[in-house]
Amino acid sequence: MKKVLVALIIVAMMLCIAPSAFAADDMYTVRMVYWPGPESDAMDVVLNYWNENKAEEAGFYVEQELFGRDNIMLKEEALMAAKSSDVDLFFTASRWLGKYWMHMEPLQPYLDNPEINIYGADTEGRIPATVDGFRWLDGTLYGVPMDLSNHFLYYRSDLIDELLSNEEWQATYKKIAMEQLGKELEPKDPADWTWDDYLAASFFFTKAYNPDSPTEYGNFTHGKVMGPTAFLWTNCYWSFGGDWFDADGNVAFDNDAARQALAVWKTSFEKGLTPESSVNGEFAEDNEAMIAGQCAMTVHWNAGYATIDAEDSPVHGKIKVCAPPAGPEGHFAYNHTLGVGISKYSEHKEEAARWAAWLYTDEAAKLYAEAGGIAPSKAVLEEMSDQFPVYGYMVDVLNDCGKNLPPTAGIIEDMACGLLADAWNGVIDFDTALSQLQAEATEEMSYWQ
Amino acid sequence: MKKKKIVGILLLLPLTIWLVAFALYPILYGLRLSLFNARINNIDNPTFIGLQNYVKLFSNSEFGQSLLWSLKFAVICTLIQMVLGILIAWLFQRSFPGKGLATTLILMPMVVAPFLMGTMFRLLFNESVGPIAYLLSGLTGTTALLGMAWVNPTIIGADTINRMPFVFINMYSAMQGVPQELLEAATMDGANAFQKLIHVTIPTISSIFGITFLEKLLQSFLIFELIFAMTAGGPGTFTQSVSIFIYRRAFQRSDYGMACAASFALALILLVPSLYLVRRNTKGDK
Amino acid sequence: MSRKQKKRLGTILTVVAVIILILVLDIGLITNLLTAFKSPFTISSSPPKWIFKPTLDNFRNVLGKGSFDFRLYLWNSFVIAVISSAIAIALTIPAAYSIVRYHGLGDLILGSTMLLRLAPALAFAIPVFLIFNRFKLLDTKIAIIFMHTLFITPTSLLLFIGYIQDLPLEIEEAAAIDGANTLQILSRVLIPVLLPGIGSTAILGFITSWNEYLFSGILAFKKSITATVGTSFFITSYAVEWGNMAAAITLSTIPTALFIFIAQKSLVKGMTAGSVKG
Repeated sequence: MKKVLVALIIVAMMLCIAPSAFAADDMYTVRMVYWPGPESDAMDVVLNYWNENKAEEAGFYVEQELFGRDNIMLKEEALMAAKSSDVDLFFTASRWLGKYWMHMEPLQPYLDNPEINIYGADTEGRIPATVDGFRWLDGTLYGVPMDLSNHFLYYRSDLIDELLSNEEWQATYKKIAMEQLGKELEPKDPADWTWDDYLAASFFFTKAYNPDSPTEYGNFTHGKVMGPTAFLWTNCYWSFGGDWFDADGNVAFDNDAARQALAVWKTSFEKGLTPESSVNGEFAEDNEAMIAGQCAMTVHWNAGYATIDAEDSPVHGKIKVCAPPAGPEGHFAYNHTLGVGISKYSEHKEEAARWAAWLYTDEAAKLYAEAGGIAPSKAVLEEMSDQFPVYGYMVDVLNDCGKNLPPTAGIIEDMACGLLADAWNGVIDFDTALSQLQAEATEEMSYWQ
Repeated sequence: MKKKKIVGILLLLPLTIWLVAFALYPILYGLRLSLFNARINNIDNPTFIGLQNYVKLFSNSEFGQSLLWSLKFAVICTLIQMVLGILIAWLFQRSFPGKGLATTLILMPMVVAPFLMGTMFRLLFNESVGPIAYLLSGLTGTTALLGMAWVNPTIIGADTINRMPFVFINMYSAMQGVPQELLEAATMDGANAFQKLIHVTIPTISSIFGITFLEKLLQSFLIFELIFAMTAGGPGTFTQSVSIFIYRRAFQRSDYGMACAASFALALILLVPSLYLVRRNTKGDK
Repeated sequence: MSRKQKKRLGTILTVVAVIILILVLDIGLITNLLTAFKSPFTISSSPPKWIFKPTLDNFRNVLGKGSFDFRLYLWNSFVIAVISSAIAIALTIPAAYSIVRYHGLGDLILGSTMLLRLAPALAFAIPVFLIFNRFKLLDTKIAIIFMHTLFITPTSLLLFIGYIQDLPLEIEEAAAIDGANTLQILSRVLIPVLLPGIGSTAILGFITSWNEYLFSGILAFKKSITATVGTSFFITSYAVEWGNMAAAITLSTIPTALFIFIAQKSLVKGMTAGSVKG
């Protein structure tokens, strides 16, 4: 009896979860690989709008194919290797273009063809740097920048305000700065910080150095072995005058700028200015630590703002952002763009191109931005900064000091993050890490010329 | 005798056909690719480079380090999990109310993909907000379970929760086959429960015991998804298992020639000891 | 203490021990279950909250989010896992029997199956994709079933070798004297005694397939996405949608738990068969 009952439950369950049949239609459906999460949620809105209002005029529907963050590129590479016509548009990031441009179709000729580009869209509406992010070194345009990301210095404005007005705190701050960094430093507005100020403030807001600190730790430093961690460090590297590639496009890591920037990162980990487990921390861990009120500041992605400063967040209204601290060369704020490009193996390139052209319009950018995506159109971002203040900050910071990595950065991203993480965690020393990185990255680049 | 041979071959036929149909081509393709410089930019037209991928692999000091890490990890995890799994299976030889449900619940940690569970563990072991981290902080004195000091024990613990049920279910089902008469005879001889386990039960199920041991050793040695999700091999290369080394060295660089070379090299390194263990088992005292 | 009391005390102690074990082993799932009912800022509260106002939002998101069809994914996973583990068992029992009792060619098959087990499967991603692309089988359950069978085969072959090895030879000899041929021995004598082993191997195969992430993800686009792959969509470019992910994991444990609950019955049934024959 019991067995029958269980069997019945199973059958009933199967029936409940059995899928309903999909409706078929004659019109072609353009398939685009996209990244799941806020980006795809925003894209869903755009796609629905397209399929309801635009599809008939254009002659086709569009749908997105999703895959989780860690393996999406592996799946795309499989599609590329198979020359599969299953998808019409590939997803890519500006820094990965150097790996994938050879599997993608130049876009400009389609944009220039009024029969395909029936919307008269052009690239002018987008922030120029983001469009350039989708050009290969020879200037050929391969995609549509859809989603912009950048780095900020986040700080607890309530704590910094207190520091800037409370004399007792200021005295302690100077004392700690002298003890720990051997420098005379005054509390300053974070927008004017150098990395020394950043470290001094980090010491000040770490309980181990200042028992009166309202937060347990001064900062949250991302340490996990993954490309984006290395990008966060790159803000610091740039400000000391370094870059991933020199003017001739050669790998350039074995230099003093890298040592100085690594020293900043290592200080945070070694002195315990950042939570102990942040050596394996990234975006999500940073959000949790900031929301929990454990850290006073962090160099972090713009995408964190919506969560950390959300209405019901315990630190709502106490979070401000500005450009990452400065080095001798000034402030730099890393940014990159996610987007889509036409597959070279698509059998419906013209449809894909018409869709890509429409994506370049402000109409599409606005729909996307309203749904929570960060469309890199200056007009749209500025217009919407009342609703989403962070859009306004992004425009400001990127105008002042935005910088991106070249399309070849993705090729050496993994070895950079691995060796840099080893260096700032003290697994190996700076000299070994940097010379090894220099040698390995140079060799790797030779396979991609 | 000849007929017997034919029957033996016929029984193997379905599996053989399946392997040839679905595994042979990928393996040959992979073997060939391992002799080429084949990255995603030239996958159409790879260049033949002989054994260079293998040479590069073995001259990389990180490869040796990650092999060593995996070996240590495999030995520790396997010992812990075999002992626990056998003891729990032994406990389950008694009858008690709700046994079916209890068996299911013991197996439950396995039903979540390690990749997903590892990702959830990032939250559950989180230093600021992780429920498990807080529960354990009484024992560890810190909630920074993914920090340098605790990351190895944490991963071992996570893997034990995730994979120990594998040992349990094999041992449990094998113990069901141990004839009651043997155990009763041992009781007559005055053996206590633990002695019966060591002297009667385990020798009777020695083959499945050996196979489980081997499988567990390999599973832990080749661990990938759980660690990848939790630490990606970090801090730095501190918890870089050999599978993670290969993933990072080859896939994140879109270097398919190296990916194949590393995979085959690893398989060959492991094949000899594994086959030895299986053979020792299958050609035992029977 | 009388014998009866002693027995009862033993049972109580066993139950207590089992409950503690379950609490420790399932700690990940239990805290995950709690997370599934938390709102985002309850999840992010420090120290973690154990008592809170539960919300069903996460489950609503998982079951009704745009183009995300979690019911379909669960169904796919279930079908794929059942068929893959069934095929793998059907393939490996005769092979294991041949390897244990006949040796010879079996060693070669054993060696190559082991090779399959030992090479990180990732290396085959591209060639496998190429094959299924050529046969136009991408985004079908069939392609994923083929692959999962391959992943289940090595372990279940090894386990059946172990189980058959541990069986007393006399059972088969008795049947052979009665004039049974090999097929009859396999189906009428061996399978019943192997039932606990088949049960646990089926459970393990089911779990392997249910949990497989990489190939299911590469081979599926829309129609054949599995629950594991679908759940991974909550790992986004930056953050992880903890609540939704916890809810999706919770939902996908229900069918697997039921499957295990039913399959583990054969573990006990086998015992009676085993003790009669053995």
